[in-house]
Amino acid sequence: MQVDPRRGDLVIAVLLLALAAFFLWGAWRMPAGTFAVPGPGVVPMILGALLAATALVLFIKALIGDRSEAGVSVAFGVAPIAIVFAALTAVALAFERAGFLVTLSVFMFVMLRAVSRLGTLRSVLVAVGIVLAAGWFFDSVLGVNLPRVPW
Amino acid sequence: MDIIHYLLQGFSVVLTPSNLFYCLIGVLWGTVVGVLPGLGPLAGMSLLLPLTYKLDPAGAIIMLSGIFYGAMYGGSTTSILLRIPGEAASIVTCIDGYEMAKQGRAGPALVVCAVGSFIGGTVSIVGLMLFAPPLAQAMLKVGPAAEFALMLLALIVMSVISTSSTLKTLTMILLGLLLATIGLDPITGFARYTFGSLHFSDGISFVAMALGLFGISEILINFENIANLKPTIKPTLKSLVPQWTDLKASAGPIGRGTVIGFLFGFVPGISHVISTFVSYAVEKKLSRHPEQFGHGAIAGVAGPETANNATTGSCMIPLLVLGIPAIPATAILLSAMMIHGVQPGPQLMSEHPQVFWGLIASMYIGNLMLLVLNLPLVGVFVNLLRIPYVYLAPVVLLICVVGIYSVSARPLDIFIMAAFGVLGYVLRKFDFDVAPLLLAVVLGDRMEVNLRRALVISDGDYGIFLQGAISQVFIGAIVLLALLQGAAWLFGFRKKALRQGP
Repeated sequence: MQVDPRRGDLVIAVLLLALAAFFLWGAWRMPAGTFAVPGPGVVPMILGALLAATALVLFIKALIGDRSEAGVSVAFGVAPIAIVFAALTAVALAFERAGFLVTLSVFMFVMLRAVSRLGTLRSVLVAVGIVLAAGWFFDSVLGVNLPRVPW
Repeated sequence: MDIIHYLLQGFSVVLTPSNLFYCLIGVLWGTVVGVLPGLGPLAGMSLLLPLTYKLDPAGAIIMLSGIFYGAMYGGSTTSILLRIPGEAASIVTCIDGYEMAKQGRAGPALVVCAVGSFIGGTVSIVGLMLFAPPLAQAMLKVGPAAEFALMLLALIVMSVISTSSTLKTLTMILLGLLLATIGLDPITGFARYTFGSLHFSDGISFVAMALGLFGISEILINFENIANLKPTIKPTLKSLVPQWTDLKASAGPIGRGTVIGFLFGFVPGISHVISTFVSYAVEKKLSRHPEQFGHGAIAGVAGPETANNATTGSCMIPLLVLGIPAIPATAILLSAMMIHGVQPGPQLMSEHPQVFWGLIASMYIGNLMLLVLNLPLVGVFVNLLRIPYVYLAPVVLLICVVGIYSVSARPLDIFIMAAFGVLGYVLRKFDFDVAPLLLAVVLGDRMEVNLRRALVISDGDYGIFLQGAISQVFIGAIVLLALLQGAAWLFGFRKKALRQGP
């Protein structure tokens, strides 16, 4: 997917404005303290306001800036992002429930099927092999406590 | 004599089988990530950072710093043989290094790189050893106001010299500082943005952030550029022997590269990258045959490669003496030190001499290891490029998952890492430099503590930041930078020149 960099800047500026608003809202509910003894809300309040200001300038620049200065459109790989993010989120959810061996084997299988040309059987074998080797190295050699199969 | 005594103590720390092993693992892994395009020192250090938690502080720091300077060595190999910079500091080496390789002189180029890197790295460590103790003594007198001003100066310098626009860099710094406020307030203990969850009481995991922003985002970017990297030039051991004329022509550039690299190492930001560009420009200017540059001039390889390694010692000085990471790689070192209960700063030398002097001694040994290992193993490292990225990437992702889980045993951190990976990918795609974000996260907590302490001391008088010579120097430098930046805007200076290179 090709994205105009100015459009990308616009989207990022809007997200940053939303983030600044969130931090400002949170800071507003914290004790402000006094000039001599600033409370926990003062620094987030100042930083949130500054972030909002820079995000606004970024937004305006992207909106009315010189088109010739924007540069070439940016190639944006939606599929790799979606696959990796979804796979890692699934790992986060399943890691302690299903144990590292099952979770990471499935994760490796999905990643190999998604990015390599390996067939199903080979992907399964390679995935399980890598996870067993990694499990031995991290668990036995380095002493990392990985979650076991709970059943 | 004290320095010699402490250095010997440092060697006694390093010359244990376990620490020598960690040093070896660090420099080897550093070389590997330096060789592999897309995995620079930051990703390399982030990947192994969780695994260092099981080690003692000295071993952990020795291993991580080994990755840092090992990557500087490794980056040159692919630049010369494939015209692919393994990491940003080796971009300049591509220009003449690859031309030399095409002319059948890959061997001399690699040897000169290794020798120059060794000399630059070693001299830089001597500088670190000589400058750090007196600077630390001076810094002991610095109060919270001056310390706050110094950290502010570091972030502002970063915003000025970053390769992305000043506005975007400032935005990243502010975002990083805001993210640093998540967790318990360092002074009152008030929970900020935690929503009652204990998971966030210590803030967002720095390791998850670093792994996401540098490791995962790097993999996502590389998924788009999976090129079939096959080294076409394979040097043999015999071809590595340089001629006398090569060595003679490299002596001057190595000497100058050492000085340039050492000086630029103090500059926060991307000093190791800038130093290579400056060194290349200086060598071209001083050369009797500037027309040879771009066509295989050995000085164009020797100078920049020496310079980027010479920054490794001096860029440790702000970290070890001031507790301020000048570059993102040292931010990861700072994080590792703090996790091990070692606070970098002026008191590091007195409170944790085994870490400080052990690190210095390990850098001597690590540089020697790299010199001895790199040349015979150059073929092995080049062959690493034969591993298809489609197999390498899932393994790196697996290491990320296991690594981050090993830190806290919290699956939530895996999700945070993934989220920061996507964030890093999107930001980098649109030319937002994520390194300042990470630096700001590291410094944010201490900046806030120093700011608030200074105000408590002065009873709310903001004039405290202008009191005292040290504070005035830092504030003066901030004002000067702001004026220079303003002038640059007025006269239409753009950072494009820096981005485009020499």
